Amino acid sequence: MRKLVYGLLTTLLVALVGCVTINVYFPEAAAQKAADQFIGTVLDSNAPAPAPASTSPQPARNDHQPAAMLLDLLIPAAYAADTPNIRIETATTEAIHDRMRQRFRETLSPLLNSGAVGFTKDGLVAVRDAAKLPLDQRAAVNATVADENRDRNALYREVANANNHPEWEAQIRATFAKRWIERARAGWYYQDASGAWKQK
Amino acid sequence: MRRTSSHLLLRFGILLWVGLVLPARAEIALGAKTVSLPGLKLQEVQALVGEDGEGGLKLKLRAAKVDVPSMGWRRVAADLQGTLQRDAHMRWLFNGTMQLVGAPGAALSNAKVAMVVDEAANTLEVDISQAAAQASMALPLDQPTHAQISLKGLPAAWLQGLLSTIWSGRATAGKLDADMALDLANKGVQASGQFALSAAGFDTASGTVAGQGINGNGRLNIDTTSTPSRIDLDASMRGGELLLGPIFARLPDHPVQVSLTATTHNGAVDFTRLRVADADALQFDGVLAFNAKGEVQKLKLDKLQARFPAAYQRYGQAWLTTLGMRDVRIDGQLAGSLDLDASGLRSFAFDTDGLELADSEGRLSIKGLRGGIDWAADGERPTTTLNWQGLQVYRMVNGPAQSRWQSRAGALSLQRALEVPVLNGKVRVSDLEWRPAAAKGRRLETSLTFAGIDMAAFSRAMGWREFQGTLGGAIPGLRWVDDRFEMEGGLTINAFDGFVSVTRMSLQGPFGPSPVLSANIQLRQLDMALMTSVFDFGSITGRMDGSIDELRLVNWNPVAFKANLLAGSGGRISQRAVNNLTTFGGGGVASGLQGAVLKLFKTFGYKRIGLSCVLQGSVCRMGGLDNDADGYTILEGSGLPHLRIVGHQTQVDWPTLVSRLKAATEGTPPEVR
Repeated sequence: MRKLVYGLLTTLLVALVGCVTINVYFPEAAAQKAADQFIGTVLDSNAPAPAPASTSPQPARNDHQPAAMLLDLLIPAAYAADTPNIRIETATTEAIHDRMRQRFRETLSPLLNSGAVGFTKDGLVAVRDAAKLPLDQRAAVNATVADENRDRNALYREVANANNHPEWEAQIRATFAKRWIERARAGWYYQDASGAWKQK
Repeated sequence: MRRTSSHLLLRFGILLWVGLVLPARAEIALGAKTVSLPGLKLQEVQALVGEDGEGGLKLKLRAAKVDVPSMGWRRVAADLQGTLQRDAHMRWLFNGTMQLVGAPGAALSNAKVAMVVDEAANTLEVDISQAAAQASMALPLDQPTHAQISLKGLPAAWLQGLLSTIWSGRATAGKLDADMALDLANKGVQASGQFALSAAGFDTASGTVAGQGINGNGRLNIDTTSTPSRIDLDASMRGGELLLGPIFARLPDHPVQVSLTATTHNGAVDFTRLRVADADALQFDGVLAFNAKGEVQKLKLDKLQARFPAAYQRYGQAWLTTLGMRDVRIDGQLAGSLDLDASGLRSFAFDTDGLELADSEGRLSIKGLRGGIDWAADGERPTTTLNWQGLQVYRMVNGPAQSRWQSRAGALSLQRALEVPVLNGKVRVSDLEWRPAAAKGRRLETSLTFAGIDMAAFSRAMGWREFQGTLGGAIPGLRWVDDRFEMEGGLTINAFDGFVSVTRMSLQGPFGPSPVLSANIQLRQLDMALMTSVFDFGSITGRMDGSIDELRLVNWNPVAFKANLLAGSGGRISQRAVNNLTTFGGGGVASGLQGAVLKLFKTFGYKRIGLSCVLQGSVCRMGGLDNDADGYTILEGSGLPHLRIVGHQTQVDWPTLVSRLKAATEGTPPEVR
């Protein structure tokens, strides 16, 4: 009897852990691909607007717990139902994309080139060295940076929401932060994990 | 100190004496590793004294490293050459050149120097000139650390070294005229006098505090001998641009009086007295403190008087733009006070006898604002009244209202329920409590009641097809949490002879570029005949129920919802409405034989119409009355001819669907694909 109770408890525990593992599963690879596509079309002025293609599910397998792997075998249906996929193209993100792309072309690009503005570690932009700019431009640059950050914050929120996982916002932000920095052109500045500015 | 200096004078005397006594044509070279004077240190000094053949002495003095800490000069190479003569009054006259290498701002890179030493009068006079810049200095011989200085057209950058001793910033441009009394000490300098600056510029390492093109004149006292260093300034400034953190000021062409006392320590600047008077725009008394990073640590403004639009154009525009409010139109005047520190807002108060305000995108405008608000983070403040003639939020025009406010323990509350006329109805705001200091968490709580708001006026304001109805309801709890307004309770719209209720509303960033509205909507017993006539969809009779759950509008466009619509009581549907309904199934107008048959009838009887759509990331997952592998039934007919509309496309692209619906309701035939 006691054995049975223990058995049931263990099963329940494993099931609980399993549920949690699956629910918090974040499709890192898919998110990276989607972020790359978005960032690529913002940074590359010649590229066309992002094609309405959703990225294929690419479960990240590197950080799986053994318990979760066992559960993968036991309940594959859960995965099938919760197919990891990151969708980025909605009317909102398109609007944000277009604003960001235009802003990048018109103002941000030269600011990044000169090192006055850099990419932060939390997926935003910041004025790194205002002294590089003529005085009368500094206030305008502050406003541009504030505008860009409002759009970026809204983007991360909307991507999480569009994928029906508002709780993914922080992970999406982190993924974007990494990809912005990876795709930064040589000479641009970015913040490393400690917040110090580095030049690419 | 005095001893060292007399020591040096003695040495200098010996040197002169040797020079005078020695036979003609002789030259004497002297070298010293270090020569120290109060506030002055010379290293690797070489002096050469010789006869110039005209009764005078040729002097050459070269020092590889000169340090004048009080001037901020470090390791400056100096080269002084000239002739020394004695005139009839037994004064020593020196005429020559001075070249400094490595002085801040490239000061005195090639200057002419004239010196007069008058032992009888106990004075040393030095005149230095380089191009248009002139500096003259007079000092008593027995107290060489005290000097009267007169500067004309001196490049401001030459004072870079001096500035660097009190401030991390640097002068970038401009010319300086000044008459100053200067006392040099080992640890610093004391100076006071009159000055005039033209086209001056300065900048800081972080670039957050800077100025350019500034003209001004006034009185200045500087004392860097103590810690912290202290500056007193009373000046009148004209023209130019100033950047102070988030504030970018464009100074007018008429004089602006600035008077301040500042202390600086390790790069931090503390304005313990700050008075600005720009008569037709902005006046205040206050204190202001920046830390070494250029961040505002304290700002306290008293007796603030602002006149708009001048104050906005000259001082407020850049700051508001950073906050996302571009091109605000603001008119009128305002008196007030403000107190904030590193932790946030401590108190503010304003009072106006007429202010108009409108943002450029038409999201918000206030007309005829009168009265004021007085808030403090602690304690109790007197009651104030605030009235306005008109308030417009987006396209919703609200009428005049009077409000009474009081601040207690950091919460600003509405003393009396506020009634605002809106769209032929009324909104009553009560139990409002606002905590301005709370940057995060709950900032505002209130309850709202809506009564008799005219949907016809509302739909007109929104640019929709006009429909009749009234909106009412209560939101017993509205909370402003972080950047989101959460609303408890709900609104009910009586329209189309039925009810639409909106619950669980929340609104995020209402005045930002991407406002997010989420809500649940319930539809009860809507008369579809009335509805379809308004939206020109064809005609359907019968009643409709339904729900639109988890609706999410971003920038007022739907991006997600779970909609379920059902007309279950039967009725008739016109041919045009049938065509339009097929749009939902992803199809166009029925063609071929089917279409030809359909065209014989004007209306059809139906038993049920049902449609569901789950919108997620621009794809709508469609469903109907029943779903099977083949498709889903949208309409189940009754009687003859028996009609059944089945949708086959379960995944419909939302933008395409919207454009088709738009085309359908605008009367143009849907595109056949």
